Amino acid sequence: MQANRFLIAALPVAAIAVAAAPGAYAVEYLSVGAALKLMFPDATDFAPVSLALTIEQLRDLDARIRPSGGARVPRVIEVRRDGREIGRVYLDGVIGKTELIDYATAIDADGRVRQVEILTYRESHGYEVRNPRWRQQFVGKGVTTPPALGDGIANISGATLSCRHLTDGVRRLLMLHAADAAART
Amino acid sequence: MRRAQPWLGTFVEIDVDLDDTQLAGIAMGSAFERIGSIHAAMSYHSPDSDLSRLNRAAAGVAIRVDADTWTVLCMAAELHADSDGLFDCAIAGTLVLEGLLPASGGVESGSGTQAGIELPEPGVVRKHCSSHLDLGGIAKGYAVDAAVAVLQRFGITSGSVNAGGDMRVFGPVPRPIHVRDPREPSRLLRLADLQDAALATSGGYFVRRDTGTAKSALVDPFRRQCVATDASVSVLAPTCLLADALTKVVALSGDVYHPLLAARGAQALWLGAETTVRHQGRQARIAG
Repeated sequence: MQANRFLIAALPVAAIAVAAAPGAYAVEYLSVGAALKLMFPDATDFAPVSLALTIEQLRDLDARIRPSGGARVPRVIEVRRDGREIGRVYLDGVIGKTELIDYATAIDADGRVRQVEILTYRESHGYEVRNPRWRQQFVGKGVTTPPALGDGIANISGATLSCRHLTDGVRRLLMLHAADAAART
Repeated sequence: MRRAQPWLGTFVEIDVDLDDTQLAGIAMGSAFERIGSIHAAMSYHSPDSDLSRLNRAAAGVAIRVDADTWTVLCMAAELHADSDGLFDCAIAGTLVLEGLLPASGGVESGSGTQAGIELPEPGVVRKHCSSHLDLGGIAKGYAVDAAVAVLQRFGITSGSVNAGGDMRVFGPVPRPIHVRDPREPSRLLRLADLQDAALATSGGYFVRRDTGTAKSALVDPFRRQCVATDASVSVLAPTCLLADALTKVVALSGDVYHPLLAARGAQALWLGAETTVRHQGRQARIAG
């Protein structure tokens, strides 16, 4: 299962500490409608469809791959151009660290990932200062929240935890997409 | 208009001030594509990337890489020389030994430094020893700069690109940079206003592994060891590449007045109760 335009691999990066935007806790990036238009600008029709997979088949799939960011039944939008299917968009959510990240994954007619867009991000975006010493400057002695060491910090893959879960989510959608295509025929 | 996509092992957010949402969408799409191609060229993990081909290459063999990779390697070489070897991308061998990067392509122990990388002509790289590179300390900043350049080519005069904390803002409007107040997560503390500048931060180097031991992805290139520092270093610089790279120089030297900062029009902010630097992890093998 290859995601050509969405590379699973990641550059190792330093941990992140600073916030860019105020109120970055629930950022709404795109509406579903805007995302669909961005991902398939030449489409003439977006039609919600159901998965051909049964819930049991879906469960079997998830039992095999054990998704790290939580397993949901995605919403599926069939993308058409003049009546012909040119791709699908899966509207899915993964648990980042603690909160749900809504994202849209566009898959081409040939089964490859075309684009991934974050729709809503409810987490702190990795902006919070992760350094416990640094936090202590503000927290003082009364702190009861344990510093989340290693939580979301650049690690083996260099990816933050949220990003890794999203990557796993896209990988799951690709498998689901292939299984669903098989179930349709 | 704001969008985010997963790239570079993090979420990349692009924000542009433009009323024409269609043009904004196209410009942002192009900027994301640019980031995606830089990711593809310089990913450590992707076996087809320029970087992986270079890491697999034998000493003395000329490798052709794309213009982005070559440019980043040139900048890395410059910063390596100007920091007297403190900034060094040829530390992937240590990260592999520490278990922080997977061993890939049969390269276990590149022991050479950045100085062993020759850039004889544009697009061509030659290793003179078994250097094993990781561009994580510079490529993210480069990708942010490249994305900003794309947006500006589309005529966008004000916006920001943020790759998980490595960010650059451009345009006439200063943008406030906030950190989260740990006492009150719904509140943000204003750190600075950024205008036509970049900011990168290295911090929280402790990485809790399954074993319960802490490791760090910051490598002291002289000792060939991972360094754990309690501090968080932020660098403000004209470009995100410089900000990204210079955080390593400051974190490793412990010097917020490192001469390279002023020479490059940058300044550093050291956030941390302690400035002690602890070394840990087993000694990396250094081939004779």
